[in-house]
Amino acid sequence: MEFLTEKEKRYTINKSLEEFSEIKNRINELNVSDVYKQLMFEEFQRVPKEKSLAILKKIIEDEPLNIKKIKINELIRQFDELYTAQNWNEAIKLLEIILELAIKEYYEIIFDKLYLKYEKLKLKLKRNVI
Amino acid sequence: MADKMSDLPKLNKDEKKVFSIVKEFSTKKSNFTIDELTKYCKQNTKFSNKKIYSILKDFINKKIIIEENLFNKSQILDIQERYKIYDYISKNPGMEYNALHEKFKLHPKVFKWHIEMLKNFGYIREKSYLFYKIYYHKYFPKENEIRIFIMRDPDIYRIYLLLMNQQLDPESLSKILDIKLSLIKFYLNKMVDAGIIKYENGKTFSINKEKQDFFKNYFDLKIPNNLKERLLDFNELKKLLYLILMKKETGIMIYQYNFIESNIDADLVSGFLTAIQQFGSELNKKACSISKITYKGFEINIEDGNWARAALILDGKSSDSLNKRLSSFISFYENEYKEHFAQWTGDISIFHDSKLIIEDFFSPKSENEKSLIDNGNIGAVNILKDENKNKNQIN
Repeated sequence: MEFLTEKEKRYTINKSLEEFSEIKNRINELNVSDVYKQLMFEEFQRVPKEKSLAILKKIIEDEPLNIKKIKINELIRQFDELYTAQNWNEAIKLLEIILELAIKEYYEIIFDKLYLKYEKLKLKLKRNVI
Repeated sequence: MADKMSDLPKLNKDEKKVFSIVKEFSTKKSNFTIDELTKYCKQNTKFSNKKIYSILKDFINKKIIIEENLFNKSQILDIQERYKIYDYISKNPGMEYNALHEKFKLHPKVFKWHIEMLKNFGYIREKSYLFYKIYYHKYFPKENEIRIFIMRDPDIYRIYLLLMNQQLDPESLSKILDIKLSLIKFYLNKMVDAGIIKYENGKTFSINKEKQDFFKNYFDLKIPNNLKERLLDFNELKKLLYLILMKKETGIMIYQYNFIESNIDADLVSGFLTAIQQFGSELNKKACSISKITYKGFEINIEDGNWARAALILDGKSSDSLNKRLSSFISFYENEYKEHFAQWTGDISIFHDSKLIIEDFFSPKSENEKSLIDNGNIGAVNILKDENKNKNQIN
């Protein structure tokens, strides 16, 4: 290799040998097939390290939100607190989440009960009421 | 495969020294020319240039330092399944994470990897709304983010299609779609807040026509036949005023159902109808029945069963379809109360559940649902309703 004559050619330390070990360890933590591990490895080698680590952190830790895991009773308790404290703006935001969740999870009784409060809150906030 | 990646080739003492300097330099500068690196090594060792060059050349041969392969953003889309996700999001903006994941059926971590890469390298945009994470192509207009997401709800989409055809109030939508009123109102609130529909005269709703062209780019806005038929049927059923059920022979009223808010003296009507029927028989000198009476704009359609008589009072003219339904209704009704009719002692409280049967028969229906009723298969109507709802799901 005539490296002394190719003055403009730029080099970098091979991350796969040294600093890539952290990324490699994180990829290995993932419960995916070796084919995907290899694909990830090859891709992350070319991606700036900080960005790779940030993305991997998301893949490992940030599970997609599963609405079934949200405890509706806890949300209702939080809503009651906001309602009692007359924090109407925050209360209606949380109530919209609860109502949406109630629809998705077929909690009909909860929906019917809280929908009336939703209309009341909309009136208080002078928003459109159907 | 991974263990091999961290295997550093064996180095001698001088090479280790140069390698530690290279590592130090790389923390300051992630890429470098060999000249720059040589100069830095020279400053930090007593080695000659020649020796440094020789060691660095060896490092290159052993791939300890490599030619920089500059990251090219377009390579992100080289993975075919990722490209498909990107393409799908571009064509179907406003899809939420779980729905997208369901569509592609990839391992959750692999799917997350693709999404994060697309997001981090600016191909797609993520928006948090309620408990959803929603995705859009990078160029999708921000002002339409929530609007298009809301329209992806199958019930909201069907409300929109109906309102495209006719201004309607929440009660009417509830009847046509067979969705309870509070839920319809919740959907309408969301649609109004998102600027998808408008209040008209504080009672009915219509679509916001300014947004219609935008939605045409992403949704099939042609109303499906089953929904159109239900809308037509709803308009037909708006003529209904009262349904009075009476014992055929005596004319004693057994149940009255009001389709409108105002009331009518059903005893008076049933007595009148019985008298008219007897009058008709008297004229003919044999048993006969009058099936229709018209008065100004009103019509009374009469259908006799074996024991019961149904009188359907309308504001306007009846249709063949309504007549058929009245006929199917009386057959079904008599069958349901068969035992009660045979031994009836005059207690009308046993017909209390008539309301449910009447509301089931005289609610808006598609042609398929109507033909099932005509064939006496009302149970199948509910199955069909569910099937139609599923057909209208938006992918």
